[in-house]
Amino acid sequence: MTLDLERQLNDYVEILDSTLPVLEAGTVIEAGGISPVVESRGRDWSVLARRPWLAAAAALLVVLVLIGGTSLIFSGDGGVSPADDPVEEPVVTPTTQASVTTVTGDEAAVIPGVDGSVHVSARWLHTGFAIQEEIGGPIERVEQVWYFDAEMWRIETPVWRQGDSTELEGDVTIFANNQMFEYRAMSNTFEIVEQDPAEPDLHPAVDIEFVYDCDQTGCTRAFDGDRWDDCTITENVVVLGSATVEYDCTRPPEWNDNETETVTLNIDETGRTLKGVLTNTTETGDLSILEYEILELDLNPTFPASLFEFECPTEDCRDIAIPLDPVEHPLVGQPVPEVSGELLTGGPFDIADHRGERIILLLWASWCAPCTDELATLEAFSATAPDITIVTGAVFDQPTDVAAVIDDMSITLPVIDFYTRNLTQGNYLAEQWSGSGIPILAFIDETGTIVAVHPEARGIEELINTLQQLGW
Amino acid sequence: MMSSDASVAAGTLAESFTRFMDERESGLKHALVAGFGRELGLEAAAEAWAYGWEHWERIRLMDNPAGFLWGVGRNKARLAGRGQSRSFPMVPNDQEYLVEPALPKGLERLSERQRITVLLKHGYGWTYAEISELLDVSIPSLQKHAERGMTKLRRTLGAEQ
Repeated sequence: MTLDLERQLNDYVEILDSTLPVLEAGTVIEAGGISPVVESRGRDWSVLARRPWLAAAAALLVVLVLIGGTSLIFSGDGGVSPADDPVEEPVVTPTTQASVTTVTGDEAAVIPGVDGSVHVSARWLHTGFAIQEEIGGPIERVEQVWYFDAEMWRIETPVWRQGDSTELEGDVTIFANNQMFEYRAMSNTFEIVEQDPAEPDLHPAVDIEFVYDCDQTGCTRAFDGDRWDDCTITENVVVLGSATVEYDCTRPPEWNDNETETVTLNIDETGRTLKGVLTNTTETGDLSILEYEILELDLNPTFPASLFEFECPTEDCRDIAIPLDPVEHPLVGQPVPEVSGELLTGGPFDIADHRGERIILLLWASWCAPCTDELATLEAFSATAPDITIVTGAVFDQPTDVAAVIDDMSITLPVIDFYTRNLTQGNYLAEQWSGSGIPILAFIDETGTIVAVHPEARGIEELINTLQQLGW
Repeated sequence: MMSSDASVAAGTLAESFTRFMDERESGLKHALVAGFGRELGLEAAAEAWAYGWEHWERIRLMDNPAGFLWGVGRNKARLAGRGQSRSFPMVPNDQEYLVEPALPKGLERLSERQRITVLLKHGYGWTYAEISELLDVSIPSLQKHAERGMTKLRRTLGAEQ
């Protein structure tokens, strides 16, 4: 049977369209230039702070979001127009005026790597007040970037408010004062490498960011979460004054749409960065050659000896300073967090009841493609490992969505429903798993200790390698 | 307190904004949902319209205000969606509609521009000229995006010809 794809698309959008709410002009006007969207993840808190009545409404709406499972709610409270209530302009700091600030960390370590490269791993324990003093305003949210296998992963922490404390490891992005501050780990010093206004359309030059991991010989890896997953970098050379990056893509790269890009090159992991602007693009078939003008570049930096020394920020720190392996998940070696809940197939599951068993736990979501890849791997593997208890947990999905996926994929592994639990007990992933992203594949030994974690989909070979290393 | 002149001006602004939004609300929403998925797209559309009203005095004078608001919404969605998957929900099938279950996942795997073009052109039935006007992308580029997107989608769905 031939698939009529156009008919499929037409049917799909027709059904999808029936679920989309209509936004009325009157609602927008009444909201007075403020998005009538309230997000549970905590964006635009500064706007709420400027308008206390909206903050109160927002609190109610967040509750409704949690109950109703929708993220789009319109408020009709308060009617102002641009004419009678000029909106306070956000503080916009030009991107070229990056400055440096310092936040004292509790733990830090510098680990020399091979080929002269330097891996810096640090852990900080902040209080809201400490960062507030540095930034000079309330903090809306915090994002952080962790290193796993030298790849960069962005992980969004839950809403982080003044007075809370949070433990941050690796690079950190803080949203405050309508600006985005990106900090890059540099021993126990944060260096601001990027400042974005919260109004990206005012600064299209910071619309897209490409981050490269480089060493003295040039850049070897590019990372971008959305746009380059189908591309292979065939050549990537950096020379003084310019950089040329060649991509061989299975799809036409999206450079020819009048967007302006900036590129941030990280020469090493000590936080040395340089900025460049895209000056020329050449496209031949699937091959794109991008040329950047580099504004600052130090290809052969001299690493001061002090960089390889660890200085305790306090006298007591020697008891707590632990050199951190950037590959290792912070929960390795820790007791497994609470893993309990209702199984989708009915009945309770509590990992505490399985003490004495070797357990593999996968935390996943149905909309996360790497998660479902890993789920399929685990399902296939499970038939070969009768002596290992394998259990999975769906952390963000409504049970009906999860049921549809496991039915579609013929999954027989047990699935714990954390979505229902989240509604009453808070964000399971954030609270129990240090805000890790998904998928998480955790290996738990007979004593209930996490002995290994795959913080991403790694496939069957890595799964077997890990089991061999663990002696399972 | 507003003066009467200011009140009249605000009223005129509101009327023109309402007319504009009545015409363009669904189109902008469809494009943003096509690009960034249901949740992010809806949020971005709401934020774009809020921004549009806040700056309507200036935006209404532009050559292509809808295209400008598309850019605002796109930037909002990209900023909010860093590190997130574009979520296209599975839809229930009935006797009238039979949608291939792998279609939403296949859409998520297209590039942003491919997905927008494929969904607007082949899903919502826009013309290339209409898409080109909103996205400010040339029609030949759009045709290329649509062609490659459909090919990739067919491959993903196992319906390669």
